[in-house]
Amino acid sequence: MSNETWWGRTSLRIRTAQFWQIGSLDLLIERTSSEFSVSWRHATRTTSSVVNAAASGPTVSKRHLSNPSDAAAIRSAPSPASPLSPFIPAPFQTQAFAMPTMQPSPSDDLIFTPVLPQAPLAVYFATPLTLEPNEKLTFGVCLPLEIKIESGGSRVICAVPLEPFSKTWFGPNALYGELALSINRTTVYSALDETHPRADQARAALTVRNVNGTPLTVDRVLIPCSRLSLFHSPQTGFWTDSITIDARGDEHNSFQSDRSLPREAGPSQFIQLVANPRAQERASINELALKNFKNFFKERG
Amino acid sequence: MVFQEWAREFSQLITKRHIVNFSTAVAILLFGILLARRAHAAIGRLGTLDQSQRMLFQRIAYYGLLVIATAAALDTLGFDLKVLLGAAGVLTVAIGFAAQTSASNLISGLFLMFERPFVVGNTIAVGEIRGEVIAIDLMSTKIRTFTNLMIRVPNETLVKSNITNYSYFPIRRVDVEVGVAYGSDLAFVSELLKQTVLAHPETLREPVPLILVKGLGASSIDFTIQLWTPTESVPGLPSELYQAIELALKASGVEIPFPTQTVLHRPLTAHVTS
Repeated sequence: MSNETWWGRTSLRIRTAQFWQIGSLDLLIERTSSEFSVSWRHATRTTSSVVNAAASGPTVSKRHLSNPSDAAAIRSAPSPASPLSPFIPAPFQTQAFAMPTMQPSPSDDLIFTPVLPQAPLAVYFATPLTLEPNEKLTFGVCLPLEIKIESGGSRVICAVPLEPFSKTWFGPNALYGELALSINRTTVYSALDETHPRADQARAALTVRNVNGTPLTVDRVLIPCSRLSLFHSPQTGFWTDSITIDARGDEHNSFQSDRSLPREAGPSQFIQLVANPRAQERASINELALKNFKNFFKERG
Repeated sequence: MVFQEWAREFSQLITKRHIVNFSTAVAILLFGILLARRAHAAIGRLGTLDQSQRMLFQRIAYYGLLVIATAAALDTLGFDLKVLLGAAGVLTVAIGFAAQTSASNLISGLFLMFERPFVVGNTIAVGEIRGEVIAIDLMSTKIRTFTNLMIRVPNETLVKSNITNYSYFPIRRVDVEVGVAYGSDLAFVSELLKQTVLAHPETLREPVPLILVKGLGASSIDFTIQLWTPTESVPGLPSELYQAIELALKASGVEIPFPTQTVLHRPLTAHVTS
């Protein structure tokens, strides 16, 4: 795995655009004097991005477009097929985001950060697993990543998935349950060393514990990705907190995570925290408000 | 001259007590209006109630407080409320007979707000009417049809009718029907249809889509694909799936037959008898 990272800070001046290709993701970011426009789609490549990604991470290319007509040409080109099926077209989805008008001189910087998805992810065992009471087993699991785009003022513009997600229903029947994400390749591996480093996926140690009094058969678990931190090691790629699922025999399994990464993640001195749990993003706004409130009174003695 | 006399007589009638009572009544009324507005706004901020319940409680609080304030103001001015209440009783009976339908709609509205078979924003069907609920009021429910017409349905009608709520559950089943030519490899077609619908990002992987042979039609072997999708994706999904299925079948050499009719020509044998 390369020491260079495909994420980080980039500069985008007014009336210019940038076109990124990260694995199967086409990402077009345009900037006018008053807004950012973000367009994306997942397209099939002639050389399989999946194969490339398995070896060394997704193919990443970046093109600076100084002429607005170049961006328009990219958007108006015929839609390629979705990586999921050659029969389903993948047109661009576009969202526009207004620039903060309070700033006297808005920053040209854009910050790209890999993050785990906000929605929970359903992962499936290749064969149903039977656990004796109080027995626990540890597996390896790969989780998909999104790319979070922030403007220079640390204002989140949006988060775009690096590979196309499918949706699934996680519940005993159509009446009870919740919507979750699902990826074709998101299966549970019998051991962590069966997983491979990928620049568009994070690996995690998944421990399933039977807390039921009787033997229990588990065929799938739900991982609340928004409650996990994301780490990166230049040698071993992306990792998340270790996950423990207490299986109870119904759909109300309990979830725990801890920051002890498995030994497969490599020496801890090389591992850096890339993103905090996204569930904390909302809390951090409250914390900020509380901090400002305290500062207000502190300043007045 | 006459006016001056009238003004002098009037000023003799108006005592200090009258002025105080009148001022108090006006103050009570103003305070009542202020209180009613505050209560209306406070209930509007309650997050525990849904929109229709909030509207109901806002109206009850607003008009209830106004009625109490008006009664208190009239009492301060010296009006005998017993007479008013008696008259109101008689009036209520008279209005009750005249407005049975309105009363029925009102009570039905209360039932709807507490039973909650639908909320504002849901897509429902009542009889021939189908659309999005835009308001649930005490007397009627307003529905915006997909052709952008507003239809006012009396609440009594809703309570008496079968209501279909298309937005009640987060996921829904969509049925897509496809016919292929006789002689097609049915196992291959089933697998191709399954893979094609599963490739759409809005098709749920679970519950697993079912590919069923619906029947042997006049011109085609008919398949029904039963798949599940998030409720908000239901309107657009079938169209996208039909396009993807048509492309997939064409690319795989599976024929979607036109309705055909075979006409047999039998030569006429003429029996000419001489």
